[in-house]
Amino acid sequence: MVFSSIIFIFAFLPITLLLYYIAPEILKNPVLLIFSLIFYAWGEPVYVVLMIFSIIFNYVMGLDIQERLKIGKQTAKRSLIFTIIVDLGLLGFFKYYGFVSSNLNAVLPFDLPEIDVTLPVGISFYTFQTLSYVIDVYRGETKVQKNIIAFGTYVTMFPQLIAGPIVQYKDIDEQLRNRSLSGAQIGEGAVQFIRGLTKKVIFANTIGSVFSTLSAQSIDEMSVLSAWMICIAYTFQIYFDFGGYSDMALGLGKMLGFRFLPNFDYPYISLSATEFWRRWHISLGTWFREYVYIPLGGSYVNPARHIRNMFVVWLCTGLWHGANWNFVFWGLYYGVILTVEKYFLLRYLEKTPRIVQHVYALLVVMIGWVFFSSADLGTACSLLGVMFGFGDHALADTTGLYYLTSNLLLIGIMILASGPILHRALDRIILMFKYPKAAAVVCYLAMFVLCIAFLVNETYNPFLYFRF
Amino acid sequence: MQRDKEKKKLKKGEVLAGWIVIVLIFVISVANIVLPDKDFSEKENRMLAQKPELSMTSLLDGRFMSHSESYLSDQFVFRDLWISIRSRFQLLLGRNDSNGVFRGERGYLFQAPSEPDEEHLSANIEAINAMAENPDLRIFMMVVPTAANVLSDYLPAFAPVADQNEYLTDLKERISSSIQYIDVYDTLKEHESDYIYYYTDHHWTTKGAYYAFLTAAPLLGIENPEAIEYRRYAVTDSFAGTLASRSGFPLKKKDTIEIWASEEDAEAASDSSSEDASYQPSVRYVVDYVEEETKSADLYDSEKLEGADKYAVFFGGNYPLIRITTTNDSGRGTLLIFKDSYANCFVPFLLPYYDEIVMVDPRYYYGDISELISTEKISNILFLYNADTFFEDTSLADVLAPQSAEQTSEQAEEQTGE
Amino acid sequence: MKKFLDRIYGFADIMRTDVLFRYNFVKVVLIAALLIFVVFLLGGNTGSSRSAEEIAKSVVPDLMQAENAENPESPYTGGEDGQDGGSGQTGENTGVFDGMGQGTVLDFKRIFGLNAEDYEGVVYFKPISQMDVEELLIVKLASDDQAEALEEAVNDRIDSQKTSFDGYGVAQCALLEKAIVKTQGNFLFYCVSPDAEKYYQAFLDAM
Repeated sequence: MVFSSIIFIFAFLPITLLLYYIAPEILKNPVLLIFSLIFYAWGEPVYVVLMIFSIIFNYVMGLDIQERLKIGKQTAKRSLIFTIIVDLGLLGFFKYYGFVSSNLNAVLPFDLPEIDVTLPVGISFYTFQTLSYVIDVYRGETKVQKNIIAFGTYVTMFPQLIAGPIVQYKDIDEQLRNRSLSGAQIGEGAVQFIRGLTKKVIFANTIGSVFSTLSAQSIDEMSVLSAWMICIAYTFQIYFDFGGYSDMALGLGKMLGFRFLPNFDYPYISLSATEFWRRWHISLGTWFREYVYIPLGGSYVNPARHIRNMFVVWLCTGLWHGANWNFVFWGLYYGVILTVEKYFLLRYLEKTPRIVQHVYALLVVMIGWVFFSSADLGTACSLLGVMFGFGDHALADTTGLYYLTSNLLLIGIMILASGPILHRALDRIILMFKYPKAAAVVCYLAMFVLCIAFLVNETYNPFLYFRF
Repeated sequence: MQRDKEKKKLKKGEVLAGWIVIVLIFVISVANIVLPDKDFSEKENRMLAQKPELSMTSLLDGRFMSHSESYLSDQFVFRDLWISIRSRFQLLLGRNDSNGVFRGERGYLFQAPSEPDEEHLSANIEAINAMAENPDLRIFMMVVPTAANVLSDYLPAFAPVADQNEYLTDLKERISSSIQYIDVYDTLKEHESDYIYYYTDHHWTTKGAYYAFLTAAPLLGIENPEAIEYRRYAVTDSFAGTLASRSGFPLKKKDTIEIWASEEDAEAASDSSSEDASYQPSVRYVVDYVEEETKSADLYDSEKLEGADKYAVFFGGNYPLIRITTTNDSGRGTLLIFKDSYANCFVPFLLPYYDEIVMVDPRYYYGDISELISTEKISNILFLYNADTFFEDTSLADVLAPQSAEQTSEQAEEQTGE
Repeated sequence: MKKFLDRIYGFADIMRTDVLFRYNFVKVVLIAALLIFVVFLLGGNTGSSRSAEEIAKSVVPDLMQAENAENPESPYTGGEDGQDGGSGQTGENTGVFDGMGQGTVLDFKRIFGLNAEDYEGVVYFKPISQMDVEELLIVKLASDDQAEALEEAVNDRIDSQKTSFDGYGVAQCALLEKAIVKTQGNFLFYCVSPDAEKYYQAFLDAM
């Protein structure tokens, strides 16, 4: 199930909220767990079994590791390694078997059997969450969760199940046991949900259809303008897709009494690639830092080791996003750029005017998205070639001009919306009214009505971070 | 202090807004359950999804889920209202297209011209040319350019629309020289500021068909087509056609459909005593809907004017095989027309000049053409299509040349016999 | 017998007292369950060794019976019926099966662009009139790589039907939207019908 759908907003959510709010404290976690399982099973009626397995398995392993810690670190470590192997093994098999086997087949003398598995939705997210739990238990950074219902709730909580944020267990432990529901928090959450919904439905989906239509053109006949339009369209689409979804996740969390850490902080105002990654998919970056980068030594080692650490983290980041070479390339692309920035570029960048830094950062990010969004490396390179004037391509053609002119206003609004400007302006405008409360109500109601209008018309609005 | 106070007010406003949204969600959800389901959407011209059946298999492979989602979405309260809100907002944003329909000047909606499907197009051309080799048949072909081509001046700026004329020129070169091609582009272009295409539908108007007829007549061997005077009857002025429903745009104008009856037919009207100036069916024709086994004396089906697809007033829409017999003795014999819906408002202009007209719509007809030709003693064949349908057509080749299929099945039987 | 019971008590005892043993036991059970699940998952798409005709008999027994009554000798896919399809119905109509007539090799070739001889078995019931869309196709594949091409041909068929009836046949379009196209092992099932779900269920049961 997707948040931005009629079935979620007008069937699942009201039923879930009603039962959740009515339920007494002790029953709130079980209600949440059951409905989160229904939420997941709706999209994956068969793979829900896999998730249930993951819950039971990691729950038991948490207890096991805790028990073994009393005996000694070595035995606990063995359990931990076993857990990691099983968890990552599942992720690896369902997500990467096809990729790995097709690449190996090219070099091996025999062919690996072709196994036809589809990717279980959200497996990358919940696997990383369960891993964070067992590792934290091992490290002693969190109490073990003896209540399987509470643990299950942590893994499956529908606000962050399908597309993050990746919540580390220790950040939520307290809230699982004890959380308060205030009217103010619920209202705040609902409004944040609407903001996210608008970003996703009105901005992301609309510019997304421009991206698909333009991408269907053959590269040979594309004009430079069209190529840039494709890049720009995707740059906005993924921003509002992911940003919108993060808003919805946090908003829903609040409506249930949870406060998650922010996952998305206006990444496009960044002045460098390094800053970009501190603002984009924050929870993923944090996870990799906590469980891969720092254990390897982080930056507190000699430069050679440090660069190796960066390489490993960015290889993993790229791979996490997809089982394809263009994702690997995308990850390594950032790995290289961030290393270069850290070791020497940033020093010079900081001396240049902000606008230069901003343009630099945006260019890096946009080129990165070309790799991310293309079907394969070859297509990505061809598109970049057209964008930067290689080959014999017209500067502009009617198609490119048409999509530019008919989306000019939308793009203008999206540029404003990718910084805090629009939000602040909106707040400012609301406060200008005589009755600011009424103005706020009208504003958000209008946004909601518009979203419903778009949703009723759409039967298909995929979320880009969906299949991870 | 002031800032803090402001922030507090804002926060309170947001919380209130949030709660109102939650209440609204509940209200709508309950309304969806309580209000009865609808069968059909006039605006979208399609059936609406109904409650899906629950079964183990449909649960396990997700079909039940997707059907439920379509059901909920289709039966959403005030569905048409939401759809028009969206289209208006899109227009506000400056976007002039929706689902392949462009919104141009003067309220015209345009369908983007389709690009030829080369595989099927070659097969169709081959089949038509093969037919042309028969010395007993005279073949005519009229592929009518569509509004997006002829009225291109009214398209929105920079609209990325393929050049249909290029495809038409290519077509002309590929057909056999023994086929008489009727090009109506110039005459339609001449009248482009006239009402020759509908604003909200992909068809041409009766007037547009008439101009094309005047051009086609001499090539068909009809002398002095302008001799016949016509009375024009506006049978509806609230026609909102296929492009309106496909795009969902709010309509600036609705269309008027006209029936043109020749003076002679009007005189021979079934109710000639009527003082009323409205259209009356003539008694001079018999329209035989062969497969449906019904006959009608009227070329027009006025019941269709009450539905959404009012263009179907012409012959009631598309049927596999329609035979129209007249009381004429023209000497021109029987005309066989392979057609799409563009022919429906064109054929009435041909009727005074033929003894009998047989219309075949290859999308729905799977009879034996050679049998039809010999039974009906056909010597003239006209292919009458609009460019979009013609270039997308996948049925012509199969209908025209079932002999080749028979050959392969004979070969197959020989093989299995071995 | 006593030894067996002793073993069980001993086992229960250990489970009760030795925490780690308990956990190890659960681990083994879980991993075993996981492996069973994965095996089921991968093996779930098995086909059947029955022929297309046998399966079709379970799905639409009345139609198959009617066909056999008319042509008791010719195998199903060899019929030489008239171009307008011939009626698969005998005198008695069961009502439910109103909407389809038997299809021939010719029909299969014309509608799907494929040769019936390429496959191990083809059963096709086509729309009873040209304004109808109700049809049923059951194909037994000769090899697995035929599945993709066949599915594509079926989807093309659905698309061209939708185009033909677009704007004119709302009931037909609605039925086409709910078409079922499924490859199950070495069989392909395709059906457009108000009863498509029932036929599909019967098909799965017959496999």
